[in-house]
This record gives sequence, C-alpha cells and structure tokens, in this order.
Amino acid sequence: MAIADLDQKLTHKCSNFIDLTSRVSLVALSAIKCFLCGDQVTSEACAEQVRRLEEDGDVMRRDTEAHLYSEALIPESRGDLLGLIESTDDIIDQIKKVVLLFSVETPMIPSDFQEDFYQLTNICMAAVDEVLLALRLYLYEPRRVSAQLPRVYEKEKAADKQAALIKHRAFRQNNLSLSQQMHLRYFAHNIDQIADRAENLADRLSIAAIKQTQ
Amino acid sequence: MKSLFWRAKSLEEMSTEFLKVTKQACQVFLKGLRLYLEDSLEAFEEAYSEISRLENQGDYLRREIENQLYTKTLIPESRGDVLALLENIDNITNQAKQILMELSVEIPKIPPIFHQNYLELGEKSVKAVDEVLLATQAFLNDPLVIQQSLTKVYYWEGEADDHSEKLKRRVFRTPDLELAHKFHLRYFALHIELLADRAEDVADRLSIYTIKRSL
Repeated sequence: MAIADLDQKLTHKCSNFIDLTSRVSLVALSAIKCFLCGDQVTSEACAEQVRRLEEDGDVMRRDTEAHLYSEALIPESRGDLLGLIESTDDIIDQIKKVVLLFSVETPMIPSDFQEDFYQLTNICMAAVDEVLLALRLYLYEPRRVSAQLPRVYEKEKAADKQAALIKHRAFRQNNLSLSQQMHLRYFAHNIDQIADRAENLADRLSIAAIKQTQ
Repeated sequence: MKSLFWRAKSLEEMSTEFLKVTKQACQVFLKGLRLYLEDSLEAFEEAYSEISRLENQGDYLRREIENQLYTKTLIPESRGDVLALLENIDNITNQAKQILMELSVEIPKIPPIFHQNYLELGEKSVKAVDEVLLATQAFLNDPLVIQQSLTKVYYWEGEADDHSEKLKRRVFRTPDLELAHKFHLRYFALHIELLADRAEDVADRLSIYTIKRSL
C-alpha cells in the first residue's frame, strides 16, 4: 500500500519538501547561468534565495521527521522514509554548496568553457528532477518507481561524462596555469556531485519501493 | 556458525563474483599506476578502459544482488547489513577507477624521484583491500576466520597512511616545485591513500556485523 493511502498529512509534508527541493534546483541553475553570463547581481540574488530555501528545507525536514516518529501511521516504513528525506536533504546541501562556491571563490571560467559548465549543471539538475519524480511516485504509486529510476542513472552517467570532458580539456589548455586548471576541475567535480547525490537517493528508493510493494 | 547464504546459493555465487571483480579492479589499478609512471600512456589508457568495464560489472552485480535480497526476501534478518556492506565494497572499485580516471584526465607531472613512493603507496593500499575482501568472503562463508583478516586490514591501512604522510612531507620540502604542483602531487597521494580508507570502512562494518551474528 502507498504511503499516501496510509498517512495523508505525512504525504503532504513530504510533497512540500519535494517541491522545495525542486525550487532549489531551479534557482541554483539560474544562479549559475547568470554567473557564467557575467551577471553577478542576479547570480548573487539567486544565491541568497538558495540559502533561504535551504534553511526553510531544514525546518521542513525536521518537522516531517518529527511527525514520522510521533504521529505517523507507518511504523514499518518510517526508517526508509527517514533515509529518503535525509538523502533528499543531501541534494539540497550539495546544490547550496556549489552556489556558495561560485559566490565565494568567483572562479575565472574561460569563455570557451562556459557552455560546458552550463551543460553540466543542466544535466545534474535534470538528474535531480528525475529522482524527485521517483520520490513522488514512491509516496503515491510505489510500483512505478522502478521504471523511473533508469532515467536518473542515465542522467548521472551523462553528468560524469560531461564533468570528465571539462576536466580533460582543462588540463590540456596550455594557456592556463596549473592552479587555474585545478580550480576548474574543483568546480566540475562539485557540480557533478549533485548528480551523485541524486543517484544515492535513487539507490535508496529502489530498495524502499520494493519493500513498500511487498 | 552457518554460511550467511546457506539458503541462497545463487546469491553466494554472485557475491563471490562481486568480490572477484573488486579484486581484479584493484590489480588493474596497480598495473595502471605502474604504466602511468613508466610513461606507457597507451597501455595505461587500456588499463583505464578495463577498470571502467570492471566497475560497470560490479555495479550490475551489486544491484542484482540487492534486488534479489529484497524481491525474494532472502536472509531477511541480515539483508540490511549485506546491502550496506556491498555498497561500501563498491566504493573501493569506484575509488580505484577514479584514481586512474584522474591520472588520465589530469596527466600530473610526477617527478621520477617520487615514482617509487607512489608505487609503494598503491601497493600498501591494495594490500588493505585484498585483506578486507578475504574478510568479507569469510563473513559470508566462514565467520570464524574473519578476525585475522581484519587485523591485517587495519595494519595495511596504517601503513598506507604513514607512507602517504611521508610522501606528502617530501613533496612539500622539495625545492624547485611550484606550490600548485605540490598541491597536485598531494592530491594524488591523498586519493591513493583513500583506497585503503575505503577498505577500512568495510572492515569497520564487518567488525560490527560479526558481533551481531555471534549474539
């Protein structure tokens, strides 16, 4: 039986948390896009918004977890759901980390790398989008989760490939100093980690959905 | 004490295969490291392709085992432990592949005076992995012999740590290297050392599971 059939209040709280995560990912994409285009003012405004959303997310997560253990009607699934909520929170944390890294370290990204970085961010946010859909399915129709997960894995692999491409190119640019090459690698790595966090959530969902449908 | 998989033979075979793939990946990692240091870049790229293939095979086996554990409700009392164990072992292969990938992508300039240090660090880290794979096999089949292997894992992890620290000290005390170059050399030492840390993570989990099973 689906969690939505067992505890509507909990489902509503989880659903709000998923919506918030989705907003974080959209605002972050915009922050990075603006940074790459040289629009620092809008980028900083978006970064501030991500910061606030992350704080709201922490409150929401704690409230959901408290409900899970004090009132929830699903004692047999609460461990799984707790793990899923925390893995979702890890995605938000990683996105916030990346946005703050751009804001604090203001990396010098050569113009011929800007499109590659935007593509990488876009793929990672697509992985987040796919896994959030899987999480929503888990709440309402857990049987459909397994069909959704390959889409997450596919995006995660694409992100790995794009990050490797950026790093490969960076370390072969003779006009860049080694420290600049390493700085580009650091940003590619951290953006790529967003897709890895989405993959972690997908792995958890895979097992939780099987248990939920047994 | 019975084998963990006494009622699930196909799982036992798949797990053995998974451990074999992890071991092979670490051997390929060592070969790749040696080839990179010898500047045999074409053969090194082949090693990188091979480890990527093994990593994919490991991912497939891990997901297949996890799927079977939960869909066929096999060993329900231990499946959470086995699941976490497999994921930690998978981290070893991922780390080994990542190092070769980073060498391939970043082509760090490693001065010949450090070659032997990097090789020995790699060998010590792989010894920690070999021991933890033996310990895992024992955990699955014959838990009574597990402690001996765990002691060796911790020994080799400590050796790798010490070796890595010495290497980094040497790097940062070598004149004529730019600071960015020192950072780059330190980064690779750190990542090779992490291979032994991943083995230690598995060993820590095995210690706890062994106690749980003996209760």
